[in-house]
Amino acid sequence: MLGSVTPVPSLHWPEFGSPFKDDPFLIADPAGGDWLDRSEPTRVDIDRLDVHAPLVALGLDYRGNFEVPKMWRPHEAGWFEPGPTPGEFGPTVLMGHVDTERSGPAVFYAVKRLKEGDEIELTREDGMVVVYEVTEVESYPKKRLPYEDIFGVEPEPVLRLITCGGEFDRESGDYTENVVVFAAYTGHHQATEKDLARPLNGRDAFKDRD
Amino acid sequence: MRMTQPIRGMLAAIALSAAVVLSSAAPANAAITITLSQTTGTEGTLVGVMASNCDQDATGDVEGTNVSFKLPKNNNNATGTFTVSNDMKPGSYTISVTCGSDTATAKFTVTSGTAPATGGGSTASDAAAIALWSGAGIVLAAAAGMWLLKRRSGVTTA
Repeated sequence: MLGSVTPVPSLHWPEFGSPFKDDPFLIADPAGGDWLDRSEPTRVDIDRLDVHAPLVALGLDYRGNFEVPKMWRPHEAGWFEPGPTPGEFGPTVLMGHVDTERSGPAVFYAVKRLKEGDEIELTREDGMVVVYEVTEVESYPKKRLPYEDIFGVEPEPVLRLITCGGEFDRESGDYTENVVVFAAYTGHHQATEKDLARPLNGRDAFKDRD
Repeated sequence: MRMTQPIRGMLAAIALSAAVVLSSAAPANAAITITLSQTTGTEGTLVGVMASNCDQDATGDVEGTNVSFKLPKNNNNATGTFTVSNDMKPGSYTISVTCGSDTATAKFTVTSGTAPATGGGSTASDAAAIALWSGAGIVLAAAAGMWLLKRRSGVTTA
């Protein structure tokens, strides 16, 4: 009799027919959330790392590779413009350099040190500040970057920060891995005076960090 | 919140229970909305498409290509998949789904499949450069020592 009453934790598999009704993990319920309409992000603030960076829009280059921020503007991060904006449903993706070719650390130098629960704020052109909380930090070999995790569906707006990690391969002139920070939406608010008064990091802000 | 890899794989296999809702919510009889299982991918990626509030079989296509697919009715939704074909060169595509008299679209981006080059190597090169130069230093010191020894021994025998 003992086993018969033991509650077994069950994973609710989505039914083929109506995934949105049956699976608590996958309820992409736009009506239940207060997701925002499209408005481009202008800055990213990560207080714990003292990162206050302007954002540039990034797309693909002519070969279909991801554009990244300019090497000579190491204090800037970029956001993947073909994808959703912060607070919109779906994954918002930010990319920033870990370091430059010559002058040392760059804007996302320290993101690998982010911990679960750390806050990341994105400010949008319409004055909304969207707040995310770090859920996971992972490093992947560049050849096996998991697109389906980074650009895949979640039941809420999500944020990913991408920078480089692993070893630097001199022959290819690139790092061997990408560090990806996964973060989940926790809310948004109209920017306050204090939000607006925060100075942005200048070009040399990251040079001497360690 | 993030699903684990095996679950994701299964989901893809089951044919897209998961989907990205790209527009804001709609009451029961509202216009259809298109959701994609992922927003960006590479050649060969299987992408799930769901048309919510579509109570009949629907058809979809990737605008500007010859890729088209069917979305059989599934309760109150229609779901289907397409595979990023070799003639979908990198760039942004509009996925268009027609359900009865309704048409809705979603955006999908195809990349070359490479990962972002987000580093120049200057912080990594410090350690490597130091190792290189200290190695060179040892060799030089050894060479100098040998030379001195050799010279000295030369002096004594002379």
